[in-house]
Order: sequence, then structure tokens, then C-alpha cells
Amino acid sequence: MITTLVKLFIALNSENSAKQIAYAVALGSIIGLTPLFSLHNLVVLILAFLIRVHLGTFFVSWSLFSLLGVMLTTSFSNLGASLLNLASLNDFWTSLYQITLFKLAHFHHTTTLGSLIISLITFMPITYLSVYLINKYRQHVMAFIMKFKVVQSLKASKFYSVYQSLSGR
Amino acid sequence: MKKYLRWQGAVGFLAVIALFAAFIYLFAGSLIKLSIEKGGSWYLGAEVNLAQASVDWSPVTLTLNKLEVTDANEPEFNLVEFNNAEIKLDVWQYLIGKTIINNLELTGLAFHTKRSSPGKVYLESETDKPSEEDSEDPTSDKELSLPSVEDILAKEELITPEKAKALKTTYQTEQEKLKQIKDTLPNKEALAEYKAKINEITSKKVKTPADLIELKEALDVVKDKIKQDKALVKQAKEQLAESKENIQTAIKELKDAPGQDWDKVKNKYQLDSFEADDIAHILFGEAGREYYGYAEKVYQQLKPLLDKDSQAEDEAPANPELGQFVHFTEQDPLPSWLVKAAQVEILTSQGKLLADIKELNNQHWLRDLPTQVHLASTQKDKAKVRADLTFYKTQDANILSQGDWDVSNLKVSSDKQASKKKFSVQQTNLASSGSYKIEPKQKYSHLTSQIKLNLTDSEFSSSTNSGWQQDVITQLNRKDAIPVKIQLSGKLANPDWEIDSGISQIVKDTMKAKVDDKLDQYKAKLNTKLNEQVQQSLNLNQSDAAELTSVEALLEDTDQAINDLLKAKLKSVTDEKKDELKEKLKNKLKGLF
Repeated sequence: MITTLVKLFIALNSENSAKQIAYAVALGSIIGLTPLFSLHNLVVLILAFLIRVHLGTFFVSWSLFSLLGVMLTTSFSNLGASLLNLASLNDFWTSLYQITLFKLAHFHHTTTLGSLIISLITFMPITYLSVYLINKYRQHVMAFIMKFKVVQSLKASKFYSVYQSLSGR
Repeated sequence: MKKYLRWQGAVGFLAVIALFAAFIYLFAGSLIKLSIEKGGSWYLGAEVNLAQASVDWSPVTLTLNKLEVTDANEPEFNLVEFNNAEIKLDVWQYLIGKTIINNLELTGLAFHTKRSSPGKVYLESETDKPSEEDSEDPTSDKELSLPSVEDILAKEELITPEKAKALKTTYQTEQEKLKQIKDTLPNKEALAEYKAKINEITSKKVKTPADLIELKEALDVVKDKIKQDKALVKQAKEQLAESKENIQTAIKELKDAPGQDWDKVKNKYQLDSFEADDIAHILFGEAGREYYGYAEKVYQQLKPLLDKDSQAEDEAPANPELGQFVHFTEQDPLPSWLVKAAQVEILTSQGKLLADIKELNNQHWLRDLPTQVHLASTQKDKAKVRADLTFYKTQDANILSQGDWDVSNLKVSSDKQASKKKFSVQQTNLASSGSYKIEPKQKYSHLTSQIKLNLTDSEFSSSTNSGWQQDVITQLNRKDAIPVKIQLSGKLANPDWEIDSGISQIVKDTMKAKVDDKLDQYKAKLNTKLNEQVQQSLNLNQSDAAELTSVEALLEDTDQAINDLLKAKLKSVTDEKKDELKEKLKNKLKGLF
């Protein structure tokens, strides 16, 4: 756990662009919020590995959003149920239901559909918010924290030695 | 492009996928075992144990070994258990959200089996609730429940003493009324006076018309008085008739009272409510209800599965935490879950049964095929069983089902619990045939069923030492064969039971002789006491009755005397005097001319 958090910390302080980290957070949010064994998560996983996003951040984001997903399952399910049972959308769903891929992706499952819609809607806001927060962190918080004596003393701790070994400095 | 993509990431992706696949391959059995044990315990509220679960991947077959489901009401017993289940799953359909089992083989399925150790129960048990058995027994011992005649006479609000009192009061009231009228009636002296007065008037000489007028006036005065007295006599006669009617009504009510009192006592102490059918119900109805109750319990456990998806497209998910699949119209629709074919070996105390099941699901309208079950016994030396049934659930959640069966050589013996009952079948050789039909009627599922039973080599027992109950048992045990017909009709959840058995006549004959004799003696004793009261009351009023008779005679005499006076004297006397005066006048006129 320490290693994972350290990786995130390294990423925040590294030369990696803020966007790489932000997209990793957003992709992690999809796989974390939606049911794990879903077809779309396979796509998310491929993207996370192939696109140059920060993998450490992706896994941390996945873990954190999974916790949030558990808490919001009922809401996702209710949203999915209301959409799937909406009379005006019945023809739309029925036509999609004839496509095997639709059924294989479990888009006719209340929780899957509800959580995927929410995670897709929040994808870009999470990305932009992450970019903004990372930039702010780098500009103000990191420099400010470095001035503290406690940080100076941390440099002498095990945490710092792990940080150094992982960052290659 | 290279700026955005890292091709070596594909290796990482494949590594992750391989890791997942390996995890599932290695731990699928353990994960399924855990899911069944935890999910089953959560759903049923009692411990579920599965010895082993394994998966063969080509074709995908799930094998479950030794599943035990604890009965939440009796944790030392299993609700159900089986030795082995081999489930051939359609994986493609499973991936798109449907559980389609192409074939299921279940061996060693048994119900209500003893567990090696009591299972854990997570729901409140129903065993603490008082059973119907403890609350009421229609065969409560009549001999003990009969109260003493003296107690009845002293404590019960009986009609006979009340009516005896009413008769006495009626006599007194009517006597008072008659006495008042009697005082106003003309006595013998008054009648003699009338007679003397009339004689005096009629003996007077009429010389002039003025004498005639005077005579007439005197006679009219007497006549009016006599008429007034006649009206009084008439009124007295009417009162007498009314009094007699009142008294006769009171006497009749008093005479009927002992009969009414007997009915009242009989109803209160339920001396005639004991029907022979009660015993047939105890012997067959209770046992039948027990089996029916067990089936009902299994049905209640399965009901959520049966109800599920019947209207899924219109309703919110039943469990929002888990979510659910919502299915839409498709060209070749399949139910949410379906067992296309199943062979189930059932272990019973009567031997092994093999159930051949087809199209087991709860959305029959989608494939328009009913569930079919064929049940047959497999051991020749055991009971012979054959049953066929079909089950079809319509889209609007109505149930259509029908079936028939033949059973022979079914040996039934009672357990310890049954032997504690007032009446029980210790052992019998049972043959049965019957049929049933379930169809929608108004807003509920309606059941009609005819069941024929034939009991041979039966041995009945009773836990009581009561004389007539032992006699019934002796008579029943002497019978070589006892036929029973049971008819069920009404709501599926709570049908009406009609039991017609040869047992009824045996019990009636034995019990009627015994119980009726006892009741007759009791009735005679009570009636004697009540009739004594009636007789005493009637005797006491005999003097009053004599007085009434004398009043009646007096009235008749007086009325006759008045009538005689009116008819004999008053009617003719003025005419005679008129004629006499006319004659005198004629004679005088003759002298003038």
C-alpha cells in the first residue's frame, strides 16, 4: 500500500504531464464505479495499458472509485432500472437488445447501465478537475510543503529512501 | 503516435487478463462453493453446507457434491439435501445474463433428513409458536365433560322453573281479573228480585191506555237493568275466554320447557357436536394437512423464484443492491432461467423415486411449453409410484397445472410424535390414486382434487384409555380394508377438505351406541327432574283451575237465567196487556152500537 501511494506521490512530483495522470484517474473511475466483470472494462483496461497514462495512478484510482462504487450501487441500479423501464425508450432498448454485443456487455443490467452512464458523464469533468488540481498542487502545495521541517525530517526516513529508489534519483 | 501509445502495454494487459483467467480457472470451484453457501444462507436464513464444487470447462459443467440446507424451524434436520448435482450450463447464454441449464442430473435428493450436527439459524424460528394440535381437540372426552344434573339445575338458567313461575303468575293475574268482574255480576238474589218485580208488573190490571203506558215504562226499566247485567255477563265470558287462553299458553310453555332446556344444555356442553367425521379428519385430515403444509412451505421458499420476472419489464428491480437484468422482446426468447431437462433421484422412506423433468422455468409463455414432470418408483420391492403433472405460468402470473397419480404398496408407519396423538395410524398399507387441477378463478388460483385412498392391514392406536375410544380402535383394527375419499376444493393456499371414509360408519356405529347411551341416560335424568318441576307446578294450580271452572259454570247459569227472563216474560207481557185492552175496548164499542 505504501508503495502504491508512493507511486502516486512520485507521479505528482514527476515530469509526467498532468493530463497523463488525469486520464489515468478518469479511466480508473470507470473501472472502479462499474461492475468489474463487464465487457466495457476490458476496453478500459486495454486503453489504460496502451495509452501513455500513469498506470500507478490508474490502479490507485480504480481502488478508490471501487469503494465509492460500492456505496453508490443502489443509486446506479435505480437509475439503470428507470432508464430500462422507461416506456418511451422501450423501442430503443428492444432494437439494441437484438444485438448480441449489447447483451454481452450487460447493458440491459440495471447496475451496469446506471454506473456506466454516470462514469461516462463524469469522465471529462474528472479529467479536467484532476488536471486543475495537479497543476495547483505542483505550483503551490508541493513547494509550500517542502518548506516544513517535518518534510525535511521525512527525507531522512524509510519513506524517503523508498521514494528515492523508485524515482531513480 | 508513439507519443500517445506504448505497445509494450499490450503485454501488461495480456498479463493482467491471464492473471484473471488463471484466478478464475483455479478458484472457480471455491468461489462457487462460497457463493452458494453464503448466498443460500442469506436467502434461506439457515446454514447451507456444500462439500465441494468443481467446474469442467469443456463442455462447461458444474459439479456440486453433498449440499445440505438446514431447516430453519428444525435446525437438527435438513430442509433438503442431495449427494451430487451435475449441471451442464449454456455459457454463452450465461454471459448475456440468462441461466440456461441444458441438462441437470441430481442424485440422492432427500427431504427432512437428520443432520450430523444442528445447523446455524439466522432467522427467527417458527417452532415456538403454539401448534394447532395443542389448542383444540374435537374429541375431548365427553364422559369427563358431562356436568352433574344437580349442578345443571342449580347453576344453569333453565326455562322450566321460569315457566312454572310464569304459570303461577298468570293464574293469579287472571283470577284477579275474573274476581273483579264476578263482583259486578247479578247474584241469585238480584235475579229473584227481577223475577218478583216482573211478576208484580204483569199481575197488575190494565184498565186504561194510561195504565198500559205505565206498565210499559215499568217493564222497560227492568228490561234495561237486565240488559246491563247481560252485557256484564258477556264481558265476563270474554274475559274468561281470554284468561283460559292465557293459562293454556302458559301451561303449554311449561310443558315444552324441559325439551328446550335439554337443547340448551346439549348445545352448551356440545353433547351432540361430536361427529364421526372428526376422527377421520384427525387420522387423514391432519396427516394430509401436514403433508400439504410441508408442500406449502416448499412452495413459499420457491415462490420468489416463481414470481420473479413475471412482470420484470414493468417493475423496479427487487434487490437494487444487486441489480437485475431487464429482458426485452426478441425473436427466439428464452426465460431468465431454464432447465431444459433434469433427472432427479429422490430418496424417500418408501424407496427411490426418479423424476424426469422437462422445461423447468417460470416464464412458460416465452416458449409456450409447460413444465412436465414424470415421477416413477425404481425399486420393485418398495412402494409402486407413478405421477405425471404439468405446470404452466402465464404472463399475467396465473398458474395452470394438472396431474394424476397412482400409488400402491405404500407402507406407512407412525413416528413417535404421532403415537402421542389421541388417534393415530400406527401402520398401514396404502394405495392411492387421484388427480388435481389448478386454474385461475377470479383473483386466485383454484384447486380441485379427488384423492382415493385404500388402507389395508391397518393398525390404529389411541393414547387415551377412554372406553368408547378404545372400542373405536378395536373396530378399526378388525377391518381388512378401509376406503377413503378426499376431495379438495377452493383456494390453492387454503382449500376446503371433504373426507368421506368407511371409517366414519365404523366410528358412528361404535360411538353412537356408546355415547348416545350415555347421553340418553343423562337426558332422561335431567328430564325427570325438570318434569317433576312441571308436574309440581301443574298440581299446585289444580285448585285454581277448579275455581276457574266454577266461575265458568256460574257465568253460564247467570246468562241462562237472564236469557230466560228476557225471553219468557218481558217479550210477551206488553203485547198480552195490549190485546187485553183491545178486547175490553171492542166489548165497550159493541154495547154502544
